[in-house]
Amino acid sequence: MKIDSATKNEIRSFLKQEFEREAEKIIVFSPFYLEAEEKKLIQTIMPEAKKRPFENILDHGILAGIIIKKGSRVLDLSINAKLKKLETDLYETR
Amino acid sequence: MEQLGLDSKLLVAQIVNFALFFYLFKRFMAEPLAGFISKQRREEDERERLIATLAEKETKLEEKTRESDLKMRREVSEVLSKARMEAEKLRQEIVLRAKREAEDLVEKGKGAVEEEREAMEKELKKKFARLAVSVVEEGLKEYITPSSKKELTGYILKQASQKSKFAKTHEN
Repeated sequence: MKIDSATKNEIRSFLKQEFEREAEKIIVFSPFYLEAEEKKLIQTIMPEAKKRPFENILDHGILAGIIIKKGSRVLDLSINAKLKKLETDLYETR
Repeated sequence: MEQLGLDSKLLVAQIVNFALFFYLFKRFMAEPLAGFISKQRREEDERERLIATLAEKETKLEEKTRESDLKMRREVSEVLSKARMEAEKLRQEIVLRAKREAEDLVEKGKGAVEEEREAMEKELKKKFARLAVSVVEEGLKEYITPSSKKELTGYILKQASQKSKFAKTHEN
């Protein structure tokens, strides 16, 4: 299937925009829906969250705490991460 | 003379005959015969000399054969004893090499056993850590209520925000 160059450029710029939007998107995973106070604290931790609203997704796998995902960066503030670190520390001690 | 039975004429004829015969013999036969006899004697001497030489040579040859026989026996025995020594040396080398190889194998085996033991220990530690954390996780899942979940989350967020404020102050 031959695509003309104008359509190609349009698709390219659209995909670029989508990619940039995804890179800027902030998603917060939490074991319950966050309230205003908690959202304020998140904005203190991540000032970029002040510029645009972030998406809050429920994740029942998280025992407590939250996981913030921005683009490809992940900030894990959950207890699950602490337990994982504890496991690694236990395994690595002589 | 006739009384004795001798004929003088015959006697004279016989004496003349004998003298003639003697003269002819001496003139024509004595020398060649003497030459022939001396030749025969010379040849006999020559033969005897040759026989003596041959006997001497035979003796010498026998002696030489005996000597070379002895020499050969000595050389053979030397070669045999050398070969025996070499074989013994080789046998000892082989035994030593085999011993060393066996020791190496034992060492390697020990090393392998040690490595395996360490690997097993690591695996056990890993499993133990996993088990311990799983128990804690399950315990927490049972223990944490929705309200304590909120409390904990709030506490974690406060701690994180304080740390982030501290980091910003230090940056400034």
